[in-house]
Amino acid sequence: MRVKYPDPGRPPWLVYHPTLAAVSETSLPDESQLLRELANDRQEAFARLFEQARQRLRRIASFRLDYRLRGRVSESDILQETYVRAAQRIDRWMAQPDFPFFVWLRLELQQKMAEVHRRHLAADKRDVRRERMIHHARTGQTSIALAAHLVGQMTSASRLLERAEMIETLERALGEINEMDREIIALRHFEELSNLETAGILDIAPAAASKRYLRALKRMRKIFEDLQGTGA
Amino acid sequence: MNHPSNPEHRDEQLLDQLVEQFTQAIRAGEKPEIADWQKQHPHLASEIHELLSSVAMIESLKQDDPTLSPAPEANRKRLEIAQLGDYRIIEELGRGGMGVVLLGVHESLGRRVAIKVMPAHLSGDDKYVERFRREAQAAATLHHTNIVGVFGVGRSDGYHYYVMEYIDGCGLNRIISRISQLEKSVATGALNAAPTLMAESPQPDIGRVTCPDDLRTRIAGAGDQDLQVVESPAADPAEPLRFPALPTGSQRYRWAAELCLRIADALEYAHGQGKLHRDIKPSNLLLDHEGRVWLADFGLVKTVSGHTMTGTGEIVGTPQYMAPESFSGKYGIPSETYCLGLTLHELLALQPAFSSEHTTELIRQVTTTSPAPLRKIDPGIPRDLAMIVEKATNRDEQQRYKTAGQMRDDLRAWLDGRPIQARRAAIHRRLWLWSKRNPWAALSAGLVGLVALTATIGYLLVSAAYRELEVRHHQLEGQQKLTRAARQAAEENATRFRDQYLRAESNIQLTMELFDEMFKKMVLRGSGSDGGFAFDGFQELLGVETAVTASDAEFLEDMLVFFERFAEANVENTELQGEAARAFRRVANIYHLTGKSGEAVEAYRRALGLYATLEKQSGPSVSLRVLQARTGTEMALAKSREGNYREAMNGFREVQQQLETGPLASEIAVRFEVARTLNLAGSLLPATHPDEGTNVLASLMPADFRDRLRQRRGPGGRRRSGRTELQKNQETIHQAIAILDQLIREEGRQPQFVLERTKSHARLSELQFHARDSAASGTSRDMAVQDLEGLIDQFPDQSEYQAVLAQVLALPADQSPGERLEQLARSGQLTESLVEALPHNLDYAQLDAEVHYQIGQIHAALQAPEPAIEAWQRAVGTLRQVTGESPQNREAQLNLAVVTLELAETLLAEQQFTDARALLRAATSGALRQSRGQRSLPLARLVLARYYELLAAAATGLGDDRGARQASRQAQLLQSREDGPPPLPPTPRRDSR
Repeated sequence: MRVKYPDPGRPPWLVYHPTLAAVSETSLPDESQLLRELANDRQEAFARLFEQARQRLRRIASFRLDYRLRGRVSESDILQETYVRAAQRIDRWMAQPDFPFFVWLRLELQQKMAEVHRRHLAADKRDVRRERMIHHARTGQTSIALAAHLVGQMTSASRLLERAEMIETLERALGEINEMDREIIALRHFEELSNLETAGILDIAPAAASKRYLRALKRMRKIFEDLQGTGA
Repeated sequence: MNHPSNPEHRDEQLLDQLVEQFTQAIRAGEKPEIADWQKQHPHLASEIHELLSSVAMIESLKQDDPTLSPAPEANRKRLEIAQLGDYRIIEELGRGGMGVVLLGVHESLGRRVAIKVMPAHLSGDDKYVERFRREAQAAATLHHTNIVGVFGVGRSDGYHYYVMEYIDGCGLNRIISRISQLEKSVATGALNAAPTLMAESPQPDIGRVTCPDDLRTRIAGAGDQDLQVVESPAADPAEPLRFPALPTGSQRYRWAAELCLRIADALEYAHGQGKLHRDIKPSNLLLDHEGRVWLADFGLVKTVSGHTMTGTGEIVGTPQYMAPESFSGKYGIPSETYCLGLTLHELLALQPAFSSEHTTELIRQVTTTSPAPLRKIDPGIPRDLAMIVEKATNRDEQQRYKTAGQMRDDLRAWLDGRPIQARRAAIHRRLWLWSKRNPWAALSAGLVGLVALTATIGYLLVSAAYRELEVRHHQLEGQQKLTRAARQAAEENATRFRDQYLRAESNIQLTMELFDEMFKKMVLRGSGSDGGFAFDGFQELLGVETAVTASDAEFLEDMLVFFERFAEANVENTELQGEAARAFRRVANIYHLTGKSGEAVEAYRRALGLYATLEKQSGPSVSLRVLQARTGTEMALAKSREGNYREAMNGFREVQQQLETGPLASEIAVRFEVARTLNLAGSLLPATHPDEGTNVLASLMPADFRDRLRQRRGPGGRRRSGRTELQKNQETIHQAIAILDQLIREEGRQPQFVLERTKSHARLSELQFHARDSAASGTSRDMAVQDLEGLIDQFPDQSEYQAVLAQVLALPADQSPGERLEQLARSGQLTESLVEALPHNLDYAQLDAEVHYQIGQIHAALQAPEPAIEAWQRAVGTLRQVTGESPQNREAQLNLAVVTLELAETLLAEQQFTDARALLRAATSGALRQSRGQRSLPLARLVLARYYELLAAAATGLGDDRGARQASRQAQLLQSREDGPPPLPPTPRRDSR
């Protein structure tokens, strides 16, 4: 097997160390085991489980964090607050585990982030409105996050310029598919969730999620081709 | 509803799985080929293609990595060029914002080249076309073994392009990752835990690795600054790129230093051509098969002379590898050494100096912080190498290497095991910063001692550890069953310790050198000479005293503590006994300079003791012989200063005897040392007034004035040396001349021998003159002049020879006034040109004044007051400047007094009262300024009294009775009191504020 060595220029979480990834991303125990552990020693087990999920939660936080808040809010703080919030509400989940554990954690994170966004962006409303208008004119919320996310990751100014065209293409492609499909692409590719998790979050059957996902990919392929054909 | 048995659903499930696997593969850094996946499931080929290329597009965008570009076919579609001018295009190597890079072959030469083509959609943009052409032109002028060459620039079929050397290699960024992986697997000992790292070699061989496929980035010419490299379809995966051994362990530090040395050299060259690279970072440094490093992508080169093209607010570069000042639009040579420093940092630490997920955070780090100390990341990194990086990456441009050449030289010094400039600078800076807060005089003994102690302790610890290690190493060697790994580890350990040991030793020597340097600098400051320091007391014998101010003395005392502690701490340490001896010698020098001759003698004795021990232990050497002789003669001089003529003379004799009867007596340097000692001994005359250095000075004054001065000073001048002593001294000098003659016969006219012989002849001439042997004195003098003329002829640029000649010409001699005047005029010409050429050399200024004083004397004797006044006025002017610049220079003060008195008397005799009054007013106020805050010497008092007498006469001549009365009163006051503070100046009349 050929392995890509971590590029020092890449942010740490984007460096996929195969073994590390294996440990942190697949080691959440199955639900029944998880529940047993939690029942045994709630706080202790929860801390451990959260730790195992941290890497992925962090990626999600990074992706969903409004680009205007980068530098103002740290992902570690968000994760910390999410931990506190989730730890207070773990009993409820245990009493009624409607979602898989990780999906539930992600929901908690989502709530926390909504709160953070409200808190910070309400403060400079004028700015927010102005920025929103520019982006909403063309695309929806997901792609704002997407573009900002991609831009934020670029470590090289020249690379950013060079990718701008492609990012724009992607954004436009995402803009042309419907909200649900767009969210599925975001979950699968930017939050890097599995189909099962995606289905859990969207509250649809896994088969349906898969179907929509494949359809979205094909649709995007066609848009890419069209755009490149006219653009070049 | 879909049902599991539904075939369409099964396909969907399969497709989802395939997409998932494909996605994971990309995320794991692989470069899966869509075709491979299609082959496995032919019936889904078209769907697979659609889905996977979409995924590739999305995933590649997410990853800020050039190798993970969209599927190649998508790219190749965009540029279909078969021919560009003379070049046949083989394949596309990569593409980037500023262009596509193609591999081409020159049709007639058959040479492979890389061609950078500007994208078609930018060709219409004049600004880009201009920038593109400019880049090419700038880069094409650079020719260096470590710079990727640019052959030319062209335009064909509407494409703008330029042609570069084709380098088959990979960027250092990849090499760094590679090494990092290797080291990790070596560290954990789990070579097999990472089998994928050794893709091409089932038997992992650490020494030699193959460049895995993703390293097969046929980066050509351009680094990946601007490139997304695409897999080359022509590349045969079965033939892996071979790379020279990638170093591991401590070898790697040297390897990294060597690479950066090459790049620093390339940069020095480019900077010399007025070119800046503008984007130095690991990915722009390519390593080829032979291990040579190439500086690629002068694509952003901008001429140093400043262009406004890129100055439009565009940030050129990569935040991670940008110098802090670039963010405020400043960029220059120090920015380039900074970036090279960052690269070296990364090569050593195996991680970027700055990294962050976010550009804003990254910029914050770069602009407000410094890279983490290397030795915190990896304590194995040699300290001096880390210091080089630290200096290069200092956030303050002023503190960095000024040029890439300096950085290169330091890297070379480090590689050669020599002391590096960065360390010196670091110690210097610390001392300087510290001394800025505390003036020299307050130099704390504590700190100085601390530095010495730290250096010593560090040395002792390391050397102890080293010895222990050596023992263990020998034990290990005895054991046959050592595993290869264990042996390698042991050897590496040993190397590291040896390095540390050597460095600790050079460190401590450096500390000594630094203090030595400070000492010399300070001592030389007084004399105004910028030449080398030769504390042989010869100057002092001639009456030139090294000026030591009160604050100097204090500082010297503090230095003393350092030298003393150093010496004491290292007396037992065989390796450092030489340094300790030197320290004792410096201690003695300091005591000598601060007038504590007794203590000086004691310290010299200790230094000599250590040298003797050293000689016993390590056997005699020429340098040890010489050092002992010099220390011995210095000790004799200290004794003479104590007024102990006999002991001093015995001291010289002892040194002479040791040199002549000791080992290595036939060595040239040793024989030369004998001659020097004899010269010093021959110059030593018994003095009867040991407390004032001015005695010697007075004796050097022309005879007639000296007598007058003596009268005023009363008894206590130098006793006229007896005939026998003068005779003995002449014999001694003759011996010196005999040795020097012999040396010159054997070794040729080496300047140092000839110069020393000149000194012998000059001294001999003086002695013969005092012994009233005029003929012999003249002959000796002529010989000295002849030798000097030869030297000047041979080395016309050596000002020292001219100065000595001027001195010799001005030596006292029995000559007719006409002859004498001729000689002095020649001497005066020499000194005038010396002063003109080197206006800040106070020694030459003093010499010039002396010569002109004598010229004035002859004119006066010839009853020609006008030229006498002219000559003396020049002398007074020069001496005022000297005393102004060097207020502690007593010799200059005395000479000034002498000339002033002569000049004033002549002016009065010529009835030039106005000039006389001006001269004397300046003289009195100058003398009062000099004596302020100091115990006035009887001599100075007498001189000042005389000034006032003459001032009174001048005032009378001008009809200023009141001024005359005041001046006379001052004169009387001064003469009536033999001791006490100097009088206040007369009521200021003009400068009352």
